[in-house]
Amino acid sequence: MADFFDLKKFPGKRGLRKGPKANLEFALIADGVAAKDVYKILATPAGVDRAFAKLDTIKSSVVWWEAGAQPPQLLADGEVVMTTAYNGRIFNAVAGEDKPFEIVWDGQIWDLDLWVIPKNAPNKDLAMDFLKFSTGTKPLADQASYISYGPARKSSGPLVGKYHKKPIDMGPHMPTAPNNLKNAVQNDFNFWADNQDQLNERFNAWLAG
Amino acid sequence: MTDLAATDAMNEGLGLEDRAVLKQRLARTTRRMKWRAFLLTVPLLLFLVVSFVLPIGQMLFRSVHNDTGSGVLPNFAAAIQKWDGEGLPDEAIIAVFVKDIQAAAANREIGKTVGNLATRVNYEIPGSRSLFTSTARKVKRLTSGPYKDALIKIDKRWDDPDLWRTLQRVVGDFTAAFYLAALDSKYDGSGEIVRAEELYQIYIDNFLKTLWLSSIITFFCFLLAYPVSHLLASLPLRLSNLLMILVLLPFWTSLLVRTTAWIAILQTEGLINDVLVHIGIIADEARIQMIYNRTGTVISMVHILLPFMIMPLYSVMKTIPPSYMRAARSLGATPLTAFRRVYFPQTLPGIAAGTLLVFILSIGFYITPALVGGEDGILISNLIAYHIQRSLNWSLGAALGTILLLAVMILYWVYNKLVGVDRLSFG
Repeated sequence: MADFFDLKKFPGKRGLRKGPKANLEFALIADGVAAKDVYKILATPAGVDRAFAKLDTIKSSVVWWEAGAQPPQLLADGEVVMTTAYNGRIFNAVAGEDKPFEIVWDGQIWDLDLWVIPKNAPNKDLAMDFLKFSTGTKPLADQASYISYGPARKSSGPLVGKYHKKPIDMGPHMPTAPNNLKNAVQNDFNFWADNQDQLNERFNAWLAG
Repeated sequence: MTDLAATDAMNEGLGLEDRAVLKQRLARTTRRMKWRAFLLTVPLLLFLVVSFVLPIGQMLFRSVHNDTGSGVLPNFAAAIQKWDGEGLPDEAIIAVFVKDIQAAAANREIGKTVGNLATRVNYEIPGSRSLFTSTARKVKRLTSGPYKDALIKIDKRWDDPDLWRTLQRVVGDFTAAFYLAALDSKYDGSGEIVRAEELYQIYIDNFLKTLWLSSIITFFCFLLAYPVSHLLASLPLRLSNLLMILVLLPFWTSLLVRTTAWIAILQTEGLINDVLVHIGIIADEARIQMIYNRTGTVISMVHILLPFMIMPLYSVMKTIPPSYMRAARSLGATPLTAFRRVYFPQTLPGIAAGTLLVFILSIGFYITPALVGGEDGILISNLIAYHIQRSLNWSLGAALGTILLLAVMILYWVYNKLVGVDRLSFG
C-alpha cells in the first residue's frame, strides 16, 4: 500500500474513488498504521488530519473515479498506472478481456453485502425462500464462479470452484482467501454512519482547495 | 316620409330598458369570450403551477422546515420547551425522552425511526449518529427510572448539556441551521452562531467561484459571438443561411454529446495533446491538463452556450440598416468612431439579452461541469445535486438552491436597473 503513495518509486497517475470512504483508511495504512488500528486512529481528529496529509502527498497525481466501471477503463487507457478498484471489476477485465492487470491485496478493505426485505412486501414468503437458498453454503460458493467476490460463509470457502468461462481456480482470487486477508481491514459501518456527513464535507473542501 | 317615420318608430321602440338589455348582452358575450380565451391558457397555467410554483414553494419550505425531530420524539418535543438550558434537563423530561425513544425504536414508519432522528442530529453534531442508534437498542429493556443515570451509564455523552441543547433545537420544526450550513456557519453547543472550521468551509467559496466562472464564460461568449453575429447579419442571404445552419447544428445536438466530444478532444491522451506531441511542441511526459479542471469547464460551457449569445445579437444586428454606418463614414467618422458611436450603441439590447441569458444559464449549469469539471471546476449546482442524490440532506440542498435563486433574482434586479429589461431583445 505504501507503494501506491510513493510517486518516486512508481511515477504516474493514480486512480482513487472520489470520496473519503476507503481513501482515508488506505492513506493511514500507507502511513504505517496497522490494519487493526485504522479506525481507532481515524476516530481521532489527529488521525483524520494524518490521513488527509498523506493524501496530500499524491493529490496532484490523482484521477478521481466515481463509477465502478471506470478503474479498469482508466488502467486500460493508460490514464493511470495504479488505481483502487472493486476487485470483481479487475478480475473481470483480466479473465474476460485478457487485460494485463495485477491485484495487490495488501491493505484491502472488505465489506459485507446485505439482503433486505421491505416491510409489507407482497411476496415475503417467496423472498424468505430465496434468502434461505441464496445464503446456503453451496449457492454462495457457486456464485463465486461468476464474480470474484467472497462467499459470506466460511464453510463455502473450500467449495469455491472454477470461473464459469475459463478453467481458472477462483479460490486464490477471493478477497477472503487467507493469503489475501493478511493485512485486510473490515469496513467499519458504524464509523462511516457517524462520520460520513462531516468527512464528506471536509473531503469536498479539501478537493476544491 | 314614410321611411323617416319608420326610423323614428324604431328609435322609439328602443327604449332605455332595451338599451340596458343590449348592453348587458354585449357584456355577457365579451365576458364569455374572455373566459374562452382564458381557458386556452389554462393548460399552460396548470403546467406552470405544477412544474414551477409548487416545486419552488416546496424548496423554500423544506429549506427552513424539518420535522424529523418532533416526528420521532413528539412528547419530548413538547416537554423540552420548558427547560431553561442550564445543566441537564430534569428527570421528568428525560423520562419522556426515553419513552419516546422506546416508542420510536419499535416504529418502522419511514421518517419516524430512530435512524431518521440520528441522521438529523448528526447534521448538527457530527459523529453522534451511533449514539442514538445504540442507545435506542439499549433502552429497550429500561422500564423504570432513574432514567438520567441509566442514560449516562449507557453512554457518558448523555452527560453533556450541549447535546441536550442541540436536541432542544432539533425538535423545533423550523430552523435556520440549513441556511447556516449553506453559508459555512453553524450553531455551537450553546446555540451561538459561529463560522465552521476552515477545513470544512466549502459553500461560500463555491458560490463565488460559480459567479466568477459564469462571468468569464459570459465574457468569452460575447467576445466570440459578436463578430460572428455581425458576419451573419451582413452577409448575403444565401451565405448567411449556410452560416446560420453551422451555428444551429451544434445547438440541435445533445448537450451530452457535445460535452463528451470535448472530453475526447481535450483529455491528456486526447486529440489536441496527441497532435502537439506528434509535431514536437510538447514532450510526451508534459501533456497539458486541459480538462477535469476549470479550463475544461470554461471551454466546453462557452461552446455550449455560444448560440444563446449569437441569436439575440444577430436578430438585433439584422435590423440595423447598413446605410447608418455609411452615413457616419461619409460625414467624416473613422471606422472606429463610426462603430463606437453609431453601430455599437444600437446592438446594446442584443448584448444585454445575450449576456443575461448566458450568465443565468451558466450559474445553474450542471451536467457539463459534473463531467469535465474534475474537482476544481464544479459549480454550486453540482453541490446541490450531491446533497439531493448522495448525502440525502435535502434541507441543505434546498437551502443552497434558495440562495442560488435569490442570487439570480438580485442579479436580475441589478441588471434591470442598469440596462432595463424592456430594452432586451431575445430575437
